Amino acid sequence: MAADIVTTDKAPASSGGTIMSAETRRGLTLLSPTLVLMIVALGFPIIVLIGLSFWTQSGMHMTPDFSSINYETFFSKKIYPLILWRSIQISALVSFVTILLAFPAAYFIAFKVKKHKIIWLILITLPFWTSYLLRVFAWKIILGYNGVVNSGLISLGIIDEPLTFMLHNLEAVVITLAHAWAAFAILPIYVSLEKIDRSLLEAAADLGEGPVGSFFRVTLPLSMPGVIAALLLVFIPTVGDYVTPKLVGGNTGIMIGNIVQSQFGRGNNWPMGAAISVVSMISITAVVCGFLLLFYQLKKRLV
Amino acid sequence: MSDSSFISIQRVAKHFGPVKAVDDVSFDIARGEFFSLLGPSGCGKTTLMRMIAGFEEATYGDIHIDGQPMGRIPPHKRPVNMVFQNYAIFPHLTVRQNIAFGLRKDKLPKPELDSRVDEALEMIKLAGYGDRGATQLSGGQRQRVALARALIKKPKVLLLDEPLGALDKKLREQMQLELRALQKSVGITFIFVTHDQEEAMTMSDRIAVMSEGKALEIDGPATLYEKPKTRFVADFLGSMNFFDGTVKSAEGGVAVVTTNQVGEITIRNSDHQPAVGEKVVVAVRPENVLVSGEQPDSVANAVKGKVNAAAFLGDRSHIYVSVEGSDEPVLTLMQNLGGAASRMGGEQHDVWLHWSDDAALLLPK
Amino acid sequence: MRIGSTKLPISGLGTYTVIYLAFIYLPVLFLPLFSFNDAIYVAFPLKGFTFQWYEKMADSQGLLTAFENSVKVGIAVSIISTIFGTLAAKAFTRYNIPFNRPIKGFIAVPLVIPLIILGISLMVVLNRAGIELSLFTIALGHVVICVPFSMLVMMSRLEGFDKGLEEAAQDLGETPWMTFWRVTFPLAMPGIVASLLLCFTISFDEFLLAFFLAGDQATLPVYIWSQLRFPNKLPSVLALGSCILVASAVIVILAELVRRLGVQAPKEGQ
Repeated sequence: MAADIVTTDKAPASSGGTIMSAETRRGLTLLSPTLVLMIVALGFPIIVLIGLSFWTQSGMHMTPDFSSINYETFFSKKIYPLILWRSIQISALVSFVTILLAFPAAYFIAFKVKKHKIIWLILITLPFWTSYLLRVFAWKIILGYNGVVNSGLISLGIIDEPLTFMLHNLEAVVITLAHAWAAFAILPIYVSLEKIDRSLLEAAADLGEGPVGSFFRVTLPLSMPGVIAALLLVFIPTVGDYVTPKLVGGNTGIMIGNIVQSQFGRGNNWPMGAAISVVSMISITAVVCGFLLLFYQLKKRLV
Repeated sequence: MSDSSFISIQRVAKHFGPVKAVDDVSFDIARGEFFSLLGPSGCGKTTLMRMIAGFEEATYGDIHIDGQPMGRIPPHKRPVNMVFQNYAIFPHLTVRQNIAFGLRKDKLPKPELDSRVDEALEMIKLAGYGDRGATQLSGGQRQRVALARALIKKPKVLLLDEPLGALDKKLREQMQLELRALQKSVGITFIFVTHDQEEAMTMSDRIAVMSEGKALEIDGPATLYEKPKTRFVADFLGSMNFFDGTVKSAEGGVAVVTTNQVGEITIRNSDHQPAVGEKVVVAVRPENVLVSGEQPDSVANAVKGKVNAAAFLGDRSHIYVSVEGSDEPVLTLMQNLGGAASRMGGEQHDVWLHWSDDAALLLPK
Repeated sequence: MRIGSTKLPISGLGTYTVIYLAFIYLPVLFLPLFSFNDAIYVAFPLKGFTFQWYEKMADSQGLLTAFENSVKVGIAVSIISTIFGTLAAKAFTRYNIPFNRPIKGFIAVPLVIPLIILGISLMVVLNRAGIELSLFTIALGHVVICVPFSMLVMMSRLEGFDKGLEEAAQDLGETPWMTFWRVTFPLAMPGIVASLLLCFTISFDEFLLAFFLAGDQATLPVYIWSQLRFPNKLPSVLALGSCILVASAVIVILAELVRRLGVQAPKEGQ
């Protein structure tokens, strides 16, 4: 049996009774508890979710079925695809912004800091390990009508009336998300930059490239694995984010995660919620694949 | 500016805090010369080379290349190219792109660029490998790509930082000859850094032997080997027997030294004319020490001993003979002519060692 | 950076990084700032210094219960996740597992999927299986997201030290089990401690999965969420939040220090 590549489907470990050394068997035995756990608690639920998406909901009951009604509803109601698309756009924007902001800092630590790099890294990533909820909440109180920015500006005499455009909209969502992820994005980029063999940069200089040329021809290309990793690690989870749009998005800043949650909450249509989730997962995968393809095409042209 | 001082190192020093990595070094290198910096680890040879390349700034002193002071000129603007110890091949580029890397600034039209790269590939015998990813090459191949990459820019000086260290013995020997031939054919001045004295002697026109930041002696390989002026150089190149002693007499180009280890030694034609009573070191190359079963006719430069151990190397044996006056055995070399060395064996038989009176050297203590 | 040939002591990049750092910290620092403010509303100007919100916080029964729950769940999750993570890490670093990249990728999936999808899928499965939501179900969800972290931490730790050490021990006569206790375990210890601390923090701070998988018993983040709709509870929430921030920070710093400890550890005698 072949194991699948990284999708949310379960991937059974290969055995099939082929010739396997005792060594490998021992290794697999060691691995099996964790693997079984993840299959049961991760793979299986996702499969169930996919199955659920084909059920129907009537009143208070869910009926096992194989109907595509939920998917039809999703695409017929213009608002759902719109919000999904918007969520993808927001996430993409947030991903690029965070990478852009994080890159110079990662470069600084990797190349310019000689001692105690770890302290810088801990300092920068520390906020990321603390409660996400609290960090979003912090922005709520900053951008709010009676919040930090407004009251601060008023007491300084810069404005008379509080600004209303700061909270409960898309912009607030983007800012909050970018801030939340900024600390994390730096890690994969830093790792990539740190790995670059310094003698390659000396070689580039030796062959005639100044600092700028060396950066674009050597450093940047070799940092790409880290940049791509960071992009994906920020983009994918952000699409389904629930907390930020709920706290700071108001009515206009809704994202697909809110819609999914409402189907499992007040909306009481679990199959529908499942279907929306499935469509979201597929969309995310499609966008990621599309992006990677595009990137590899570009790479060939540029070098 | 003459060709003989094409590269001029003038009182160059590099201090890292209290450590003097390079300590007031001065010498000239001639145009088209194959020049080696030789010495043990930490002697400063790599630091000196990096200063020539521009990767380290000299604490004191100047470096001139082709009459132009290098001063603060950054590496990418110097007419110098380097082959790095680990080759520093760009992993994200193909062989062709690696070789052409330094030519981008020249903005050559594509056909010309391609033909120059093809020429370079031919020269390093990797024609057809152009489109391979750089990471798919073996160590030896990468080294050649690094070479081509540097030479294609036609630098005035090529620096090579222990480039053959990672290769196995046979490949290394082959590369040594190839590099030597290559250098002669392109005519570029090579500065070669190595800790392997055999390597330096094989390839170089001249060698600077360095130790503890200083350039001790600079000369051709044969001169350095046969007539070293310092104990360090005598010891570093090849193997050497050292005998401490006092000068008994010195006249008419002949000196007699009394040693504890091997009695009296007569030395003729030494460059160093010592004073009577001076403490000196007599150095004799193992290959100049002859071994025989019978006592030789002349008493001078002869000593009796017992064979201590013999290391058979195939083409020769290193034979260690203990003598009464010394803790250290005397090392002699015996060529395995007709199996003579292999038959020698390590048994403890008595032998006589002797050498001619122009085989020994007098060195200051 | 240079201007002409003079070297300026201030690096442009360094300045940028400091500003970047400030940008990351500043918003978060408003929480503690206003938690000491003698006013209900989070607004400038500051009204005065007070501990009252902290006192109110310590009084609140709901909060204390939620805190207790979070600690219970956190400890359970950290231990369980570390065990599973370590087993997997050992398997990957010491043995030749077929298809190890896809399998590794699969185990790491929780790091990259939107958490809400994981939350609802688990909720659906539990619901259909008739299992009631409770602290156990929250713990289950947390274990799923912590195992990949633990595995990664342990893998980097295990890869970091010489496999030859274990072989040497066995060569000197130790059984595999004793080798584990006398060689592997002590050397892997920093990683294990780091994993425990990190998983605890992740579980302690985690909101979304807890939100979906909670029954009657709330964890602290769920409790906070429920308080957010009450404006007069706001400052107490700030006080609570500040405490959580400080505690998490301390734990994470500890985890990093412990993790790094092993890297420069002197060669321990076995």
